[in-house]
Amino acid sequence: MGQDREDGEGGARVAVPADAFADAVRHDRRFERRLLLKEALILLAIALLVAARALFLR
Amino acid sequence: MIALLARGGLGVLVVVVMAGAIPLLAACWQFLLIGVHGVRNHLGAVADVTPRTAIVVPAWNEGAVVGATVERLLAMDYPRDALRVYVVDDASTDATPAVLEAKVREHPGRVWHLRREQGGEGKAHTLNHGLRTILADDWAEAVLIIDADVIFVDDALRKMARHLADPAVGAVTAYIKEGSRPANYLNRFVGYEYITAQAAARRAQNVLGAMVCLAGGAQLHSRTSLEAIGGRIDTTSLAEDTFTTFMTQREGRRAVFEGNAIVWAEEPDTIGGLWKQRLRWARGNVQVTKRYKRLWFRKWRDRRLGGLSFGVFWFSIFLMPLFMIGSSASLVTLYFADAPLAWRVFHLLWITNAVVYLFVTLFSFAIDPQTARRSWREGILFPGVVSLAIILATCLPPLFHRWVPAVLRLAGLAPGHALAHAAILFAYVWLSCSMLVAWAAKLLESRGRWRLLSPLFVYVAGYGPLLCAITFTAYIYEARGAEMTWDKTEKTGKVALA
Repeated sequence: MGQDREDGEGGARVAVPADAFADAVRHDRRFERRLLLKEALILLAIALLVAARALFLR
Repeated sequence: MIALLARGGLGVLVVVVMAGAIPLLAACWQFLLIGVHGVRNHLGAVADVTPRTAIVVPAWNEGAVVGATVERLLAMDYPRDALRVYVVDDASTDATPAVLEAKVREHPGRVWHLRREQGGEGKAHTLNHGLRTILADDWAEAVLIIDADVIFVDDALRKMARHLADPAVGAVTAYIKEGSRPANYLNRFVGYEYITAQAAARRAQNVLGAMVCLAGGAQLHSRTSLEAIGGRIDTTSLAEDTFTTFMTQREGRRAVFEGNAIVWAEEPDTIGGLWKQRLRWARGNVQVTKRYKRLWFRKWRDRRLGGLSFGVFWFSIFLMPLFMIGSSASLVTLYFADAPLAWRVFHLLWITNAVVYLFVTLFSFAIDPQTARRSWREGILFPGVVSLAIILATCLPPLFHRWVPAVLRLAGLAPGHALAHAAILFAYVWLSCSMLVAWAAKLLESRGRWRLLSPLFVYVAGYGPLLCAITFTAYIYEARGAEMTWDKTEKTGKVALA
């Protein structure tokens, strides 16, 4: 695995190996952010269900 | 005047019924905070640190599991020279001392066997024996307190330790997962419960900056923090983990939950075993509530532990049996005073229940899909079959107003007015009765052939009401001033990495 980092002298972007620690932290932060997305989707689905019930089961 | 009083009385009843929604709304608020954890967590402050860590393992007659535990701890992904294992043998009478002596010889300088000649005083005393030895020497920069049967996933300690790079953090806990293999129905219920009570609730507590409890099977303390709380664990209660957590935070340090550090543990597989374990925890919670009575809802005394959300989370669980009983009793009274009003309030309560149930269940499955694949039935049936039927009846009225009577008529039964009213009253009292049925499940378990019905009773009553029944029993024990005995949970070494 690698990531783009700025080379100090030329400013060119080169791929350098990312250390395992940073990778693990990135992975875990992504997992936490995905929970936010999942939560939003579930709330949306429930809102649709409630709306459907209100429409069809008066 | 009389009419006014009657109206006031009805108003009070409506309020008490709707108080039954407080735990539901608190759960909803807690789960909403998990989303916030996506952007507001402690991962931004971590660094690649691996402090010299002393692991304390309290062991009493753990001969079947302690050898493997020591080997697995030493094999964790952690610098070899920064890890020591101290097993405190609480006067074991099985093979534990022999197994440990062999491990000490096998790993000199890395494994210590600390023997207590007088045992049986409880886990806190055992831990303190180990802590005295560890803190007498300045080698350890951090102390990891665990249970003898747990299995740390290879990177779990490293993931916990990275938070100690922040000096504001005093302690870190991990996500304990039920790991019994094969797992029975109760293990699967516990598996699902731990998603809600740990993976979910503790993320929300991270957002609040106040932790209820560091899991007893996985708590990493910085040395500074441990010394600040006296270098010992509270021995005067049955909730030593919660007291340690509160003391750590009251000393001004944070307790953090690391949900990506996974630790597998063996949990009880009988209602009797679960009852014993949870009664100890619930009695401990009564003791914590009393000990910190000047703290709750007093932000000026403690900015985080005294916060409104933290207090609501604590008391919504602690008082849940009372909310359920109050709600049921008021509904029944309201039914006889003003039946249409009772019906409307009941509807509102159970619609709230339905929405929260859907949100909590679906989100729990999304938080830990691995456990959800194994425990999805128990997740769905967590409130019990009867409560689910009431939720369905509330959300889909035609199902019960038209379809059920039609099916009954096809079966040659004529549902009359009396039956309908009996069904309504049953639904009103169910919140309380579910606890009685759950209690009956415990009684049946020890009644010979009847024990086969015990799981059925749990599925019908629900696992949630079973926990409420235990909490209610804890109130009675504490009110009676019952003796505090340390009933160790039986472990058989059947936990496995999933």
